[in-house]
Amino acid sequence: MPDTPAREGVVRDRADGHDRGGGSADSLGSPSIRFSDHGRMVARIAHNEATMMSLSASAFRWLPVASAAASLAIIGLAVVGLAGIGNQTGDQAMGDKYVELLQAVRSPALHRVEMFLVWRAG
Amino acid sequence: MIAICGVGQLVGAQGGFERWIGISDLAAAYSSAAVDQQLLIAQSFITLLDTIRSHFHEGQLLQAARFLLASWALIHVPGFPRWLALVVGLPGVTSTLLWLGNSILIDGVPFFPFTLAHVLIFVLGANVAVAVTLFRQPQPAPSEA
Repeated sequence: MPDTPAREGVVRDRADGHDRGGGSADSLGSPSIRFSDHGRMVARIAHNEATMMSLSASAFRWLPVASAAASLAIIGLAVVGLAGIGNQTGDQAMGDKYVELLQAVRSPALHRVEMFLVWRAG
Repeated sequence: MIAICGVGQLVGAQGGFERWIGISDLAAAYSSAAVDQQLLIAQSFITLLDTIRSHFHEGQLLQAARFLLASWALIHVPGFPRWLALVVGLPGVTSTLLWLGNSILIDGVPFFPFTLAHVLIFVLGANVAVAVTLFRQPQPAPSEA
């Protein structure tokens, strides 16, 4: 069993045989170290998993907030677009292609709000 | 990969920004312009609309990839509800269908009802499901593994 296995740059996971990014003992702290049957260090799995979980936990804290914000933007978009601006017969005066232009002429403020929500929801 | 899709989707967001500012400004100019100028503005509107649509097309494709990759990643997160991961993937499927429908199968034909269903049912449903489920779960599922 080597004395300073943590100095190896790249460590290999015995289970799947893939290289994993490693580092010095100083940069990785003092994680648990596993050794293969042949005395080689195989991975700092516990430390890497802890780091991943920490990152995941951070991301997962913001996920419901971001989802709630997107939900509100989409609901607001539907309310403004369907109930606020709506479709009027005059919007078709120049053909289907120009409906949005005439809607924006008819309800400029609501159109700006709707487009902001489209941008936000997208 | 998800982050790359998210950054790439800024192209789609740029289309939204052009639609927000550009069309509103054209409409303001249109309402105060003479008739001959209105025709020119209407032509500019069509050009701007085509530019916006091309941005949205690319954004749609990257949105599909982002949802599908997120779903795939969440399925592999220990403790994360599998049904919720699949719900996150549904907008990816509808977004792919929309992209195919709008750009390959029936080019130029608006697909409004399906777009509405995609946004109001699948995208909204996925966001609400994620928000409600994770808000009701104070300890994030992955930390339980």
